[in-house]
Amino acid sequence: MGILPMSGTVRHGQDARATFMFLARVTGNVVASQKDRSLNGQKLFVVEPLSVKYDEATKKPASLANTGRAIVALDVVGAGEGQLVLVTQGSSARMTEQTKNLPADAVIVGIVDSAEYAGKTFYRAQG
Amino acid sequence: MANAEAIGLIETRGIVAAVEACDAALKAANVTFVEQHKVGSGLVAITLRGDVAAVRAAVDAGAEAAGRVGEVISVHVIPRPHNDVAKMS
Repeated sequence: MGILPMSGTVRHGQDARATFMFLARVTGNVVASQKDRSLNGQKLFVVEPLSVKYDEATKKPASLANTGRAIVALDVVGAGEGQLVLVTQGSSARMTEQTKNLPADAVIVGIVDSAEYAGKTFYRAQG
Repeated sequence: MANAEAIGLIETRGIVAAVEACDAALKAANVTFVEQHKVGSGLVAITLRGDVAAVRAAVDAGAEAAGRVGEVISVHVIPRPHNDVAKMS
């Protein structure tokens, strides 16, 4: 996978070996009664990684598109359903204060207010 | 006669911790906020309702979050409360 193809979509977090910080939409939550004790009290969310959709005419990023994928991420910032969030993966996921000794592969580390690329704001949080 | 839905209770010292607990709990699982009780002496208790598993997860997350900003006094989940328990509010 290239870093930024001239057209088409960039699928963040698509490659299992490469881990990126990526933008995702919180689509739901996970409730697991039986789980490792260290995960008690942690919020588990289902997030859908988003891709950047390119405008075919201008070859510039136009909007965020759904990928249909779902990954489970731990939340440390108080995110909620429907919000656009920043997710980090891999070893970095365990560097937050709250996830130091947790079996976490993906962690929501930010709630996005706005995102801009090449001078175009393609996301702005409501309200 | 027992109610089909579980109730969860989180009691904190102060409103800030109670609101934080409520926010985290409602976000963590599919539960609804029922009521808050101002017990007195700064104690605030919130009640949540939902599936047993959802309430457990919500109460755990709420207590954890509240503990970070304030003091959690006690936490409890009643899996199948008697209908008359609702009359307490």
